[in-house]
Amino acid sequence: MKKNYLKAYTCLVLLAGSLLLSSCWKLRGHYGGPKSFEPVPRSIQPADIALPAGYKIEAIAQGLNYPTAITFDDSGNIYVTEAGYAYGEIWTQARLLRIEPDGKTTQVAEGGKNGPWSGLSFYQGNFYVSEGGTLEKGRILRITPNGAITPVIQDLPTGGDHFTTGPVIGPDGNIYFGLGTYTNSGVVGLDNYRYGWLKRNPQLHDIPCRDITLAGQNFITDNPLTPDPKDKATTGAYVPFGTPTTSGQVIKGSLPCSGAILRMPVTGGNLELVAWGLRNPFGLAFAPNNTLYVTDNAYDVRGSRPIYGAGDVLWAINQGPTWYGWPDYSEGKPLNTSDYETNKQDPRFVLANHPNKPPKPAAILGVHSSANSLDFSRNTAFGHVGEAFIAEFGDQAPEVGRIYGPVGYKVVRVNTSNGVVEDFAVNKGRTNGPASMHKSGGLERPIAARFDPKGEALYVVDFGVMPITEQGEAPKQKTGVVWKITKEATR
Amino acid sequence: MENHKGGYPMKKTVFNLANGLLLGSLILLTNCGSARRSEPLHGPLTMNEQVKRGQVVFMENCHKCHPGGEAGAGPSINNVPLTSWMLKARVRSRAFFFGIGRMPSFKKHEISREELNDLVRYIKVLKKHDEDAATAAR
Repeated sequence: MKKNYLKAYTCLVLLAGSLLLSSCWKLRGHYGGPKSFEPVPRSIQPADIALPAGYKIEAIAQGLNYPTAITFDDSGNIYVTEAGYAYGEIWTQARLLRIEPDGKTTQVAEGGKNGPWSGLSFYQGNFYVSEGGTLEKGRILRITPNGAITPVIQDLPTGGDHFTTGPVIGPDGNIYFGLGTYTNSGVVGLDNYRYGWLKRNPQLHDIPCRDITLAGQNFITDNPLTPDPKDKATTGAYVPFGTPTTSGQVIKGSLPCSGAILRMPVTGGNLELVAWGLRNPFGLAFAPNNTLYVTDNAYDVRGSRPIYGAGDVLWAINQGPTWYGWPDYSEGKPLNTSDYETNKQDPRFVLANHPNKPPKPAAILGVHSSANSLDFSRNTAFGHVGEAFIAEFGDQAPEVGRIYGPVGYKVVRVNTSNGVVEDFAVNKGRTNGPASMHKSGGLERPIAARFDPKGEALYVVDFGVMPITEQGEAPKQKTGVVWKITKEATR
Repeated sequence: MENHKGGYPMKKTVFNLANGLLLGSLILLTNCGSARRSEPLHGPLTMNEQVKRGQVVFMENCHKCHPGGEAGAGPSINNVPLTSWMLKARVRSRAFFFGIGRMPSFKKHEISREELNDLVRYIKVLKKHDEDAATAAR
């Protein structure tokens, strides 16, 4: 009996070996040819997008230049922001546009060279825009309907890997916004040099919101800031590149800070901490029960302190400033386990102690999915009332880590009571992925999802075509689209 | 991965490699067929209470690397030709596919025996949710 078992087992192993040799599996590499930002033709075919039965999708505007966010005025007119900056280091004109009924656009306002304009809200007659801060630090801008721009707050510590985000107006009348961290996991490194900002601003580093005590973890890398190719730099957490830290060293906290959500009156003034220990809190939205929810883009496998397998997170934000775990936890779990290790370095804590045990996420989304802006359904005519609809921009692999298949590039809905994530709008095809990869006319990189004021239609802002080439991100200009999803019975 | 220093038995290593080869190849094989099962493509999944519980366990532990059971940071699992006991063993033990596999293991304090039963039931039901070809081909 045992002999027969061994024979069968041997056959299975041999079969497996032959399958291995003929397998069609592969890890996704770079794609998209040489790096270029030039516009490319984009086919728009709503029929290439799958939706649950009874829903319909159509494109209401196209040819937009890196669109990022959408809102509506009191008359129901539609407005979008064009970023003015995109990964890959390209600056264009940041703009606020009105989308006319025929799909053409009218410019309302234009910004300076300090994008990306990443978020947009309308409140009591004015627009509020989050300006990323690539060159002059982050800002929240108030824009009147005739295009006059006034900063509500400026000098926000963003513009590294991540940006100033949001903003949304809370039920208390305050403006809530996010501040993404400068770095992947707390340590300035060669990945930041490659992204461009370390060379521009070698003094930048993450800033804690409250006093923290370091564990003294340091990381040795090449030093690209000096001409000597053999020069090395030793860098700790929460300090500039090339600055070592010591165990027990205290870094003073201050506002504004990195990886946080802050709030303030829409007229400006007193700044309050809402949440910290986030990484890239990109999307903010209040649920029908007035709880603030935030999408947080999780760690990448890059830089001096790479983290493997960190899923993006939807957080329900607690009352009172809670610490959500960055840079030592992911999804509420500690990083110092083999679950998050890479072959380069095991992630060890950079903090000597932690402000609190991070809460459990409302939902855990795909690793590298880039879960961005979201909104909640409030109308039974659309359905799924109380569920969050999240735009997933899609992975930037292999720059952020290797993947077996494209992640994101779709809109998902989330039941926040049990964390169940369901696809809502996805491209058809044998595998998931952006339309340009399928050579179809569907979704590329959804970056924002927002319901119209009546809650009858879900608008999806699609940033456009952005392959990850050997030379890095190559976002194609004028390939952005705004999609509109309705339930057919309610049209 | 496991540390093999200190006289790790050769016989066990060969056995592990063979197992890894077998499991890995089965996983790789699945990538030749579509693993897509989500509602927009195939309609809603019919679930009893156990499957619903399994879905929640899946979302907490598996979805991030296998979104909806499709490939992501990990390989697709919707079309994995593994039996229930093989799936359970796979969840409980660390992957080893020539040293590449790196799915973490989930101990009983992370996924209880009951939760594991629910999870595997959900994975099996999801895997079979591909009959509605007419919807998928829209």
